[in-house]
Amino acid sequence: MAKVTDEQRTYYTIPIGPTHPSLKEPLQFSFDLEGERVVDVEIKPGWNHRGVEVLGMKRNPLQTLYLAERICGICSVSHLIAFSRAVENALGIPVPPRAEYIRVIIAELERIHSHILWAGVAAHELGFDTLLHLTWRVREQVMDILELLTGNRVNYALVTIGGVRRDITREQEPLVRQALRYYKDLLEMLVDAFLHDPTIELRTRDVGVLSYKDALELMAVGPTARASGVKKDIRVDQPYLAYPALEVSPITPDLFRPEIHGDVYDKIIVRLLEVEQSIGLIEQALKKMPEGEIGHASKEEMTELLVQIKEREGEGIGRHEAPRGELFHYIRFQADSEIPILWKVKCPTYSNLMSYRPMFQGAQIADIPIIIACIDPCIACMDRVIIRREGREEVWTAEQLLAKSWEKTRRLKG
Amino acid sequence: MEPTGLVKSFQARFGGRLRAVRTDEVRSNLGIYSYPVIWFEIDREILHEAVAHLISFQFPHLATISGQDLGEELELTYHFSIGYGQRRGEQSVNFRLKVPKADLKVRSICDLIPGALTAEREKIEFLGVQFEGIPDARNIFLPYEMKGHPWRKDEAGVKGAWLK
Amino acid sequence: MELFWGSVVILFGGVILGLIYQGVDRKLAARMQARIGPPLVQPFRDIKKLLVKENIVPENAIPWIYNGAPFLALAAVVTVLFYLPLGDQRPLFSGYGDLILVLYLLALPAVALAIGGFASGSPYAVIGAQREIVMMMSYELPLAAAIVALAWRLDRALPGGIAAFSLKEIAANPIWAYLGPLGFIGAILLVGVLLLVMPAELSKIPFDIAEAETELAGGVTVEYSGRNLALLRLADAVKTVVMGALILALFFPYRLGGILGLAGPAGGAVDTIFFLIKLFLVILIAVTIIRVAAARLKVSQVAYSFWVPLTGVALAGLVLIVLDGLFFM
Repeated sequence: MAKVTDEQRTYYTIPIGPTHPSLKEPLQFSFDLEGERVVDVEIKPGWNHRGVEVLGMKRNPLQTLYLAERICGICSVSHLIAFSRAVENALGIPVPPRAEYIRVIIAELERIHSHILWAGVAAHELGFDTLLHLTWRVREQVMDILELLTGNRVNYALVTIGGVRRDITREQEPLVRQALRYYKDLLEMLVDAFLHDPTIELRTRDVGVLSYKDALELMAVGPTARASGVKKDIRVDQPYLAYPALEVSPITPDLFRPEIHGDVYDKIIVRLLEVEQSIGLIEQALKKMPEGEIGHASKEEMTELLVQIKEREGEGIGRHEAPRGELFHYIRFQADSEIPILWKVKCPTYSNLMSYRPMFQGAQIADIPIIIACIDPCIACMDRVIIRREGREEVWTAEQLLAKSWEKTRRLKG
Repeated sequence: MEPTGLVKSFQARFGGRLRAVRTDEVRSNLGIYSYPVIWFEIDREILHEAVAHLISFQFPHLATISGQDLGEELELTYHFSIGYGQRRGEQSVNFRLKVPKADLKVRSICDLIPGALTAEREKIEFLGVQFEGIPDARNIFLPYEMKGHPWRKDEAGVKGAWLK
Repeated sequence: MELFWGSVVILFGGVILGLIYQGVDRKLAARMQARIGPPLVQPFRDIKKLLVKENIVPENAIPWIYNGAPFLALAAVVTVLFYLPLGDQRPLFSGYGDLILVLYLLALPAVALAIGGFASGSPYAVIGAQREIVMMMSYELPLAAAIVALAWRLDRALPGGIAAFSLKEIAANPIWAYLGPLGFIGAILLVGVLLLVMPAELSKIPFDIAEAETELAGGVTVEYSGRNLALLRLADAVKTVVMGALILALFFPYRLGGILGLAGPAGGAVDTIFFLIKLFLVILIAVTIIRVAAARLKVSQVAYSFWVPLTGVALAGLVLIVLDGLFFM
């Protein structure tokens, strides 16, 4: 333990990370402490830097689709949407309206699962494991729906340049509606369990406060910014996909409680209300979705697309309101090459990183995990390896697991 | 704020130092809406002034700064947007500037936009740009002791033990 | 000789009982959280595994304190067990010490843990140790108030008084029979206080701030491994039994065998089973249900809730019992 002396005061420095139980991905914090109080913090990301952008500058966009999807497991469709939009904007590739609606539906389903997952993690960071287990159990419903629609729980490989690869069939629609009803009924329980719980309010009210001014100046995005009253929501401000045709407005905490504190409690409010909003958006999208093409290309069309990419030049920005905030992809092509000369990805946590410092000012050690979690940094996914039932123990190999998951997807499809 | 108004205001303010302007209209595929994406090519000397001028419209959102190695010089693109918070009111504003490799100095905009720090630190480590007046010039995503700049295509790039 | 065999039986009985109750607690908590949970024997397996694992002493720890603290913690809680009436048994060490000694012995494991934490040389452990001390200072006063009030009242009620806070006599004379209406309310308040002190004493959520997995990665115990960690786990398990048995001895010492008029081995067996059921209920309420239904509090919040509201309630109970003793004789 290092001691830092500053004007006769003694601070203790305590490291949190790169690996620590409260962190789900490697990130290093080093806190200067005065007793239990945080005086200052230094943040060092980059423990997982894979150089994805450089990899993307060595492949053609159709190959990069799979790479972009794997930047993050939780918001994989977000990266695909932003990347595809960047390419489509750069080269002027049209997308059929039905595909735009399907993209919205998947993006909003992903928002539901991401926010519920976050709520569970937040409860765990507060030491409230009961809520963690309950929220993660109810999250399974939306994972099942995603698996039904796309064939996968994560990394859906659904969005492609110029459209989507799978349609939502008539038979699937009632199942989606049923899941939405399930979440509508459940939402009241979630709001009750999180926002009316005295211990949660004790632990999150006026903790990790990000003022309106700081949120604005430090470029906070997504729920982090909206919880401080900064109304940034690309779905409203610069609508894309099918959002121009849908009714959507930014969610701020004053919809639930009269004043905005910008604390962790407000961030819980925003995320839970956004789950409700997503349910509404999917319902609207299902209702308004036109019949028609989905833009899925055959092999020959794929080659043609690649030729187009090679011939044209241009630059484009693809922005998407991911569950955690603004996701930004920028891509630039030169004529005579299907390989982009520049690809820049900016994920929401990149923007929200700067907000950590004001949030930690004056916090206690006990607040550290929930403040770290409150901007919702990405987390790895669940795995299914050993099944124990009635005393039997079976170890599953990767092939068996794959077969098992195909079987489940088929069962879901009926 | 109309995009033409914004462009005109910049043209009136900076005149010849604004090298080129291009406005892309991005159309929604549903055919009911479009938004402008404005690209300014500017001298690097006026970057700070241009950002300050942009702030006079609304405090802008800076997504990130992208950059690439063009051979003799580096190119930086600042991706801003203003008009957020208004329904369908957001427009993207991008500033592009070139930095000769002989003199890699650019004035930091952290005094105007404190949140630009992460993006600027990333450009320092990946491209070797020097930002004047930046409060913290250490590496952010790469190790502190890292030698070389991964996005550079010349001898300043990564080599030796850092390449596996 | 009787003392020797008695202590051996209580030592092993206490450890086994503690681990069984820990297994039950984990299983029940899991069911309440919609999980399947580990099998009942999981705590035994954990201990067995820990005992064969390497015992690592960190480089900048002070080895003899670091290794000694877990022994001290376990020894202290097992010693308390010797002073408590279990089932139909009168306390093994009855006559060698009283309630006040039990109070001191109960503080010892926490002190041992804190010392071990300070000696492990890790910042997480040091912060955990500081928190452990804060916790101790917080719950000692309500605990002492409850115990003293009860012993004093019984001393007044019994003809000739009781012998120096003797647990044997407190257990032999259930308090409720001697209380007037005021005292009854006071005693109920004190039961409530003790049920909240118990999770704090045992470092369970919402009072597990000294170990706080997500904050301190295990706090005081972060550096402990192998045999030392096994000893700490055992001390924790035995402490659960100790706290439960203490609350039972103070407030619910009823013996089913005695009520049914059974004597001899049959009565003993009925008493023991009845005692185990009572113990289970106390642990269920004070440990399992509370930890499933709450989030972890902050240090300042724990200190506040014990110093202000809980001490207030304990003092109110004390005053009511004193008034009862003075006016309702």
